[in-house]
Amino acid sequence: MNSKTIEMNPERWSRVEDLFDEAMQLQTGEREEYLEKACRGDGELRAYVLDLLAASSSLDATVAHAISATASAAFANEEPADNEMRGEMIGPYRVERLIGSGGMGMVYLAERADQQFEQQVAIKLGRHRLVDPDTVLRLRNERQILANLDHPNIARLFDGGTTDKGVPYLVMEYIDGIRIDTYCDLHRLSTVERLGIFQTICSAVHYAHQNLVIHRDIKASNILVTADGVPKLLDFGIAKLIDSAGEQTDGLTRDGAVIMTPANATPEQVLGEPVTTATDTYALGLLLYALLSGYRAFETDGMSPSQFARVVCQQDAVKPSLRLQLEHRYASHGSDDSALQTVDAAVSDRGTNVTRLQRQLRGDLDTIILNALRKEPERRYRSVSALADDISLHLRSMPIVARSDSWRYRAGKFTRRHYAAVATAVSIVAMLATFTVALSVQNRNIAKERDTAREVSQFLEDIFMAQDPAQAKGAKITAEEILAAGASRIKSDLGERPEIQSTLMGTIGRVYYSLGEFQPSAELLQQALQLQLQTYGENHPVVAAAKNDLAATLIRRAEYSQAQELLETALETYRQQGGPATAEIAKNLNNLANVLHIGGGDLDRAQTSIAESIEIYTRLGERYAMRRAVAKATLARILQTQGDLRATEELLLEAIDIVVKSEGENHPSMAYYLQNLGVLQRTKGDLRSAKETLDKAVVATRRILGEKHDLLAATLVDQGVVFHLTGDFDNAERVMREAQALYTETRGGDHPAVGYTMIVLGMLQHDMATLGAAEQTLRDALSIFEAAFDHDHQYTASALTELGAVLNSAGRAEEAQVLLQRALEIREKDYPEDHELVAATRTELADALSRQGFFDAAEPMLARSFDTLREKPGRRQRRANRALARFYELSGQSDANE
Amino acid sequence: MTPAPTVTTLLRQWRSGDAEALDQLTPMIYGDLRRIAARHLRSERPEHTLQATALVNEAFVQLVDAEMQIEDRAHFLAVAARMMRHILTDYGRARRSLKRGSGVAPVTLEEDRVPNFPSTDVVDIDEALQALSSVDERKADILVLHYFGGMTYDEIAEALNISAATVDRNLRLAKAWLANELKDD
Repeated sequence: MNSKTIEMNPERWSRVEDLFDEAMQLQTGEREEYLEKACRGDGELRAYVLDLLAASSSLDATVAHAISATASAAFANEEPADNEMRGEMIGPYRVERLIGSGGMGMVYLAERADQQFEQQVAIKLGRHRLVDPDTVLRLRNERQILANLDHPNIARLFDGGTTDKGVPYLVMEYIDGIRIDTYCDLHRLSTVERLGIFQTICSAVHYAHQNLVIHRDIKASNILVTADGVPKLLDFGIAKLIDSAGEQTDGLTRDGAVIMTPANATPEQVLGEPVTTATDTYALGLLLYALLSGYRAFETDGMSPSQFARVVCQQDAVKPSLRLQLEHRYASHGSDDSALQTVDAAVSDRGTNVTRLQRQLRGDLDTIILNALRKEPERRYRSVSALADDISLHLRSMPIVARSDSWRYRAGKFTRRHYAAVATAVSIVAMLATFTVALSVQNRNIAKERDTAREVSQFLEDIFMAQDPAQAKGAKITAEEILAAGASRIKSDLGERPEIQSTLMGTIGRVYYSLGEFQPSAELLQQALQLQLQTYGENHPVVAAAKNDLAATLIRRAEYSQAQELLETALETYRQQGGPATAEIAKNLNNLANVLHIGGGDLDRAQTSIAESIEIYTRLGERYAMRRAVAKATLARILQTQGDLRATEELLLEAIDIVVKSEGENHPSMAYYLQNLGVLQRTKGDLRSAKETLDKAVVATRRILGEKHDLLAATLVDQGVVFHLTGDFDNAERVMREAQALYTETRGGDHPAVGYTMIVLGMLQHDMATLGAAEQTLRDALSIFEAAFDHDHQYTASALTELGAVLNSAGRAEEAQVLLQRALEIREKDYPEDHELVAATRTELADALSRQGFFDAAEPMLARSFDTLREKPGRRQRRANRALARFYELSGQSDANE
Repeated sequence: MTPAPTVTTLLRQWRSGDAEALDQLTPMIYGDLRRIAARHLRSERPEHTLQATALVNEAFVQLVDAEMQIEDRAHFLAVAARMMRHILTDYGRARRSLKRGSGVAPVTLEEDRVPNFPSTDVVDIDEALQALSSVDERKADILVLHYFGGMTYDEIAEALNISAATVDRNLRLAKAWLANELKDD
């Protein structure tokens, strides 16, 4: 240790640590006073901690420089060929080493050999000899213009010439710094700080423009920030100099506008149109996009020149705030942890969180950036200083000058140029972006799959392109039309590319699922799974994930045993992977609990599975908040089936709380949990709250999920039951019929959900005293259940119970008894003896018995039902009371007769 | 014939207490770190500086099954970061001895200049880290993971099995300490 430190031992160090941490919590002004007190006269300790508190904040840059410099030097030695110029003379300069190379030649670090003054310079050496004397002369003139650029943020061009061999070279100020993007991330600069540096760069570019010099190749790697935090632009105007000296072009463009880095190319460069100051404005827009959001405006890596040209010339950049939101939404709902880390890194490098960063970018900054990135040069900011001015206005919270492209403008432009239907409906744009982003993020780290992702994106884009807006109804193409077109093209066009075909089928299958279109969803997911089984074999996580997707759809289609089998084998695959439990396992367990619950399987196992799922999500932390809410709601439903209403309500409220905190009031899950809560309140007999909650749920569902959504049907059924219970029979019948029609449309006429709706309708018809209609409705329900379930399901018991009750009312007690005995067997199999549902069935059976005069058998059953339901006001209680009254009436008559 | 174990497998074995797995793992990571770095310089990239952190991250992508758990990823990055420290410090030492003319280093080594920070090089950083290690090993390790591995706070937290908040707190003091140590007065 050196003299700056004090004698140190672990005890003393731990004291230093406490003092330092404590002092860091305080305002700068309060620290000294605190240490004075806390060090109790140990002046040496106090001074040392103060030193630490004051220690340089430029440490990161210092250390990064030292490490980078050594890394460059150390590894450069593995490539001695790059250094053959070492020691050679270029003009009066002696080459020290190669520091870079690129399209325009090699860059060397060099030093003046005459030692007049110690000065390091960067020398760019061209690749070709110059022969034509006119060119030499012209170059010299232009070089002179560049050399006159004198700005603190522009690396100076000192000198230039041609070597003995006739190769042109340029001598430039050597900047020892790090790339601007790396610099900003390293220092965790905030959005405002990043805007500050960016404005400095704008001022330098504007200065050059006033001197009639265009940079032509502005990008992060051409802007270095020195250790003092000063940004410096390199290579001003060099692109043009080198170009006019006859350098090779990379073939992407015509003559005239040549040297550019493909990822940073502007539309006019791609099209070979004249390069103007607006070209630099566009490049600054790309730079600002990446600096602020952490993502590149266009992901063009590895594209072919024609794909690339199309993206640059036609595809509008997604607003940075939306981009961030999509990346984040995908990452937190997807299963790929590296995607989450990418988003996390991007926001933590900006010293903030996703929501806040999104809010910072939304509005002004989105508009400013997209304005700079407009395809037509004349529609961008009229100058770089206008761009910088708008940023100043934004920073002072004043209205900015730029305006977003109007909807009319965009639509007009796209139709005029026959550019795709991509932008004809906002929802479709968002969906395409989601696919593309999701796929590219998902596969970011894996080269082969990255190529797949790109092809997938391209394919999706082609589908969108193929839609001719002129043929679409009005200006709008529905998502369904596009999905249908996509699904059929996948089958016809991609037969030889199973991995792409399966990825696409999976994607579109999941989209259908989220739209509530379960039949096409199941078909596509089934095909995707078959292809993936062929590609990866049975025991691969990709296959397990595909099984989970398919199972989720099958559950909605009531194909429970197949779903359960898929989920069991997928879970086995995940478990065999070893290691601590992952989000995939938790999701799988949730699906399994669902199928066990809804499919009428083992409820205890369902409960164990969902408990493990919740435990895993809790351990994985806040990024899985939404999935934790889903799992809690699943557990709530299971507990509700088991009759533990208090725990159910508690879990439901927890789930709602989680959703509101992490997603706000307008999330689809809100609609689901409201419905669940309404049902719960109804079950508890709180009809007034139930009516209120369910009315709210129906309105929210129509608004958030639309008129054709599955959930709307479910909520309508529940609302109908509440109407029924409060005596509003007309409204009850109206909403139940709407629900039945909706279920028949979305799930098919033979789905158990249709049958369930028929049970509640049958009950209503029973209470409306239309017994014939009630019997028909309930018998139809029964035949649906018998076809759908391969064992006795509780829905069957419900239908049998109500049918028995109707037959009792119709005076056909003997027929009723047979049905009700079977219903009671089914009830007692899954429920505790004194469960409400068991009691309800028992009531009807006892009623059938007493109607036939079997009073000895009926009495204990009725007493039991009455006891069970005494505390539970509602239709079941009313029916039990009535049955008991009838028992006394009939048995009394019979007593009197004897 | 059993196939050669993958980096992922070795990493898991090492984490579950098999010390030999690390011996097998080391040459794989070390060799590839160097190979990747060399390729980086060969490829046409205009950046003047080469980020050690980029190398470590790329090594991860190249060597490791992408299905790896977060915990495993963090441990891999940690191993690579510590290795990167040794590779660079060894090189820095050799370069220093060349400067002094002791002549033991291979002649292909050349001088590197870091003009703005004349008094700080990797060897200084390494020595400071050793000093810190003797009183507080964990903070020294956190610095290595942060600077040589480019690891995020979350990754460091995962690798060392502590909370991200602890990483943040420790790193603040550790950085202050290092800055104080490297200060050139």
